[in-house]
Amino acid sequence: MLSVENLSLSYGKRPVLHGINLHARPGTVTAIVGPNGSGKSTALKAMTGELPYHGRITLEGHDISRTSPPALAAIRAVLSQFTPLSFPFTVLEVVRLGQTQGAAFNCDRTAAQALQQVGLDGYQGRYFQELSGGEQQRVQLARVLCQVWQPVAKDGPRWLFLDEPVSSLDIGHQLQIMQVARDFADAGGGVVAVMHDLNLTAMFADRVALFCEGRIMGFGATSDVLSDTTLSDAYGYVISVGTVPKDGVFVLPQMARLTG
Amino acid sequence: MVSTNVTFAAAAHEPGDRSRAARRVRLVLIAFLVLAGSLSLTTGASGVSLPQVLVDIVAGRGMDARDRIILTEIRLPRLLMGGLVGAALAMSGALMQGLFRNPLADPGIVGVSAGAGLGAVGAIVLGGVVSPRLAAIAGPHLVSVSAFVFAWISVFALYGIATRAGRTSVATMLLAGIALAALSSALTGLLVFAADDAQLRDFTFWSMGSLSGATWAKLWAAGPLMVAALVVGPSVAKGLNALALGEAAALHLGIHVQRIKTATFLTVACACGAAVAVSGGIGFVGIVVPHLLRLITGPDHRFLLVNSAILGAALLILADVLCRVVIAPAELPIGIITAVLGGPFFLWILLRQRSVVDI
Repeated sequence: MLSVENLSLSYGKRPVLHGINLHARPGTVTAIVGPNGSGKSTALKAMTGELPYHGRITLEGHDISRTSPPALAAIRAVLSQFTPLSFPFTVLEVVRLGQTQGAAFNCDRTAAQALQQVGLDGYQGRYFQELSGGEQQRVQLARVLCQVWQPVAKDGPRWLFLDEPVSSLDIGHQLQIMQVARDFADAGGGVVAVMHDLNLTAMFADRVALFCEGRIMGFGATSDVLSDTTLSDAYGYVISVGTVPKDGVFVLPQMARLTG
Repeated sequence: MVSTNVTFAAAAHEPGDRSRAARRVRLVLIAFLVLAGSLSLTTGASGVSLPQVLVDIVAGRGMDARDRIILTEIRLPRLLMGGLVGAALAMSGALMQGLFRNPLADPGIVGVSAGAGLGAVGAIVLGGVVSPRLAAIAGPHLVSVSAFVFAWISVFALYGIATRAGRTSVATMLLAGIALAALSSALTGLLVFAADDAQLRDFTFWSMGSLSGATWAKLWAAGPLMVAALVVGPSVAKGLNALALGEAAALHLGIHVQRIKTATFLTVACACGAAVAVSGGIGFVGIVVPHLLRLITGPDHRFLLVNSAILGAALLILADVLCRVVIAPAELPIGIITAVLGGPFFLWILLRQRSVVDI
């Protein structure tokens, strides 16, 4: 269980988050959506222990601000928007960095399986820096998966925190990666993902937190939050949400500013 | 250079896994170190050779007193000092590059060399003025001690400047390091300006580096620090690997980032402060050695740090042998040899691998 209570955060004197409350259960995908600069990534960074904050955040009973990095690393893995890499590591070496804390499973097989999951089977020997941006992002996801390989371990569920995991990917790989996250949740793990693509959010998320100017405008089941009025209010443009019989909800933006 | 890497990668049991190659390279390096050490013991201005000594001992003739002194009091401490200094400089280079995430970083970046230079010139020029008696008695030791103290002062000043609220900023350290090094160089220049001809000559030779002053006493003073650094250094390997992904990712992987920074910094201060104090300015070892090994077996610090230490030791021992034989019975400063060989070699590496991924 992830519990965020009254989370506030400032960069210097500029407040970014104002009293955020949200909860997420293992076995679900929770998407954080909202316009640029609304505080989504900042909230994720607080949840992963990267930024100091006011309020209270607990993950599986651990108070984030009081838990050591190794203890947190054992229960959650984080994929950032962009992860730089210095030095010419091979793809396999990067993926194995996910096991920095020394997990008790077969290193080689896990790395290979993680690469398979993100569609990069056979890339082990390639240099990370030779890959395209999208491929690099998928290698990083494989590394993150390696860190929390079992969605539910003996001592409880594991969590994935993903910051715009598919923003640099083509549509096929977007679906593939979101399915990896979905499978992780279906197997009992928890997933919290900052998303920009509302259609993918509609397809894969169980719950959505809609951020706007550092506050939560809506938090609940995906179908409740992704509504014409809420989205239009948040983004400032007319946005229509429709349904297709087989595939569920779709979100269609229109070239019209919201007025009034 | 791609072909080299591919060959090594293919030799491992899984593509992309260079750990087995790195272990093999380590064995080759150890053999190389033993070879270099033997060469160092058997080479010098006097005719003493190790095989001859061994033959004499085995034949029950015992070792000639003169030979024994040459081997145990001159060549052996010099060999050990060369090995320790080479290992300390090379591992420090690898540590700094890992910490700064930059293959061009070396211990000079944190002001060790500039600080030590200031300390050395200070002792040479002002030692006699402040306390003629002390300068007369302590002489060269005063230069070493002063170099060490000033290296540490500049390193810890830098650490203090770059650390705010318990967090050290690597970028601040880099910039402040440039400023502090410039300040040290300016003060050094001022002292050089005030120096007389003999002092100038002393300082010039100090700054070109030499192992010729290696004695057991110096070894006992500086050796433990370098040994301690060489033992502690590899413990940050996993942390530096994770840091290659940036500080945030390292934290997410469970690394105490600040502890890794502090440990790396202290290790480099010990290793380099001691190395520069006893051997002067020896360049290129800290850059060329880790770089070469990274090309062969990859950047994994679990292997890179130790392999760098072994190769650095072997190369500096060999460079010292060259110093002794090139213009025997006189000696070349070792810094000249490392730069003359290291510089072109480094350029050659850069030209060969330009087409490959970023170093």
